[in-house]
Amino acid sequence: MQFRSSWNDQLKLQRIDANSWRIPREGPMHTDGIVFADDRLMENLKDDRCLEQVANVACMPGIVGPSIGMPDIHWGYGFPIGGVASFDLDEGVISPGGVGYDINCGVRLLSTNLLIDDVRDRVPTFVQRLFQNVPSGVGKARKDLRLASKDFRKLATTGAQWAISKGFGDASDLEYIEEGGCLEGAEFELVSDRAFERGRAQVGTIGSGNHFVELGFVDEVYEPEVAERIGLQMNGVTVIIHTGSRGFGYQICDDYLRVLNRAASRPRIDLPDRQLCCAPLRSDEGKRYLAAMSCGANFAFANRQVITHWVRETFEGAWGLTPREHGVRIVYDVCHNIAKVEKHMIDGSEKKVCVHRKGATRAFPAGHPEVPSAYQHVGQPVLVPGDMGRYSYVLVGNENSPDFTFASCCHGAGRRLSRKKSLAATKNRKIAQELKEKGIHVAAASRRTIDEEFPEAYKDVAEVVDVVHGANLATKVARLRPVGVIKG
Amino acid sequence: MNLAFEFVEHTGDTAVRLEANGAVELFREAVRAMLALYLGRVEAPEETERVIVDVALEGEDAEQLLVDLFAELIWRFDVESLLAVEFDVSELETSSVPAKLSGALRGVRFDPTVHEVVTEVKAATYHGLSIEEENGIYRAQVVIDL
Repeated sequence: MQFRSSWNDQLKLQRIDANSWRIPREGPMHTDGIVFADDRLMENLKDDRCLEQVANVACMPGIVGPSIGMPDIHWGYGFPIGGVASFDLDEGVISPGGVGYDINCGVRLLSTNLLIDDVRDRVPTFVQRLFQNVPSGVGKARKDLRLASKDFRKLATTGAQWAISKGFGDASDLEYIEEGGCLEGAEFELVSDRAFERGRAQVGTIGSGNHFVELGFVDEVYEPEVAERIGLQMNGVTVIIHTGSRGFGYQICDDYLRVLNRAASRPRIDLPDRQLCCAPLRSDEGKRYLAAMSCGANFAFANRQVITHWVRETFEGAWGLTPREHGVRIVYDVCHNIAKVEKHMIDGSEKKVCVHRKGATRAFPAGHPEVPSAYQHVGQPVLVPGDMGRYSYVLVGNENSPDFTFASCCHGAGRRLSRKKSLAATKNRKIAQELKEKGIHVAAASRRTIDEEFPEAYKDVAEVVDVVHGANLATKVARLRPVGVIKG
Repeated sequence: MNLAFEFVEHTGDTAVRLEANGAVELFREAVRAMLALYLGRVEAPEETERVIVDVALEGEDAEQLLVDLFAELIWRFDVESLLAVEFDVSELETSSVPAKLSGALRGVRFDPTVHEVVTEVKAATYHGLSIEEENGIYRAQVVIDL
């Protein structure tokens, strides 16, 4: 099979096995591209330019291992969404386009002591209260949380720790957040005033688009012992929080794309797409971006921590439960837009590399030192949300995952329809009512968001997860069904 | 193209295509396109507090100025609740280094009880960014991250 790129109209695509494909190194590529997909997913990628983007990323200096596309890969800016690439710390580069605008957009899963059948008839009350407690939609924010510069600096440098120091949660939460909820090396001085101004009123907000907070329950368990170990039980009530660094992260990315666009020309790094602009990891520009990006990541950790606190308050306020009764605890919190220096086995020896995951998550296996002690025997939970009408999946890192994936996994279902097509497809439908009839209560800032995000706008996440499982990227543990969703 | 701007859908995001009789008009059209993106329709927003802000941008070239203008509109909306309606351009210099664009953005203060803004806008990207001129007609494309 062949496809066309901007620099080569005859790029080849070779099947490796039932779940993976190779784009062999050609022309300016420094390495192969590897894309995880079965025949059905690959068929959908033919109309998408993401395969070309996998090849483009392979052209970046200092790339270690292949340029990788996860099973939910789709077109992005510069890097594809669902793209993973690692770079040598001496010879390699860092790229804001390999992280994305929503730095540390991520997913947090909460478990509870509750069973769905005991609370199902009270879900509408919960959704209404949650919608009041957690600001959702354009321009929405809680008036009681607008930070002064000093507090914001602390938030940007310590992440979820800042939130806990302010009473948003418990110190024991930190163990179940990637990197303990704080990326080290964050330097607030390297963040612009504009980013601070944009982010200061947005702590504890989910924003709009595909972000959400979802009440659900475990409806299938594939690995009972693992599920129990990570705190999930059949029919147990769960909450998923999906949001990121909001305007703070967008502005940091925007600021540094501008800086690095200039850096790319001294000395010139020839790249097929201006959005791939990058700087050597050892350059001042590269170091500064990484330190500023870490501030954005820490905002996102704090954001999800603050929202977690308000979710706990919602269980207490809407359903009159005590903390002991609801027992809300963090199963795990994963980043899916991030660049991080990590240790990985490369050609038989351990080496530090800068892993870019854009629309992809980390998936460390059992025994990895970064996995929480309680999960050491099962591996790091991986959270893969689907659409608001079907289901989401919980997996754990697989120790048989191919080394060249740098312990990475997919991050979601991926859109099937554009927003415009979604609006056209839902014009004569009442999506909120349809979902209600399926037992899913939705509260959103606008009907348009519900229509744009209607379930059929997304691919079936089960197809994506099956490839993940089949390729040993991660192991399926449980499936979650939604019963209540708030959206922007 | 019936309008001087149009939106081309990508799967998750949107590209703005602009067409204008002259470079200054191209940048003015960018402001109108952004307003339509926020409101989800081509119409003036309901009157609230009127706002005028001066902007002065510098960049390597015209393409950078266009990205910077969108970035300015996004930041002004997020931080100052400005829904910019028109752009009175006082200076546009694209042949110098740096290229320069300045003028006054005129608009209204966003009020969620009055206006419906249909989408959050993250950023203007460099992906597929272009400005072309042919016989005095300027055409540009900017992909917007939503």
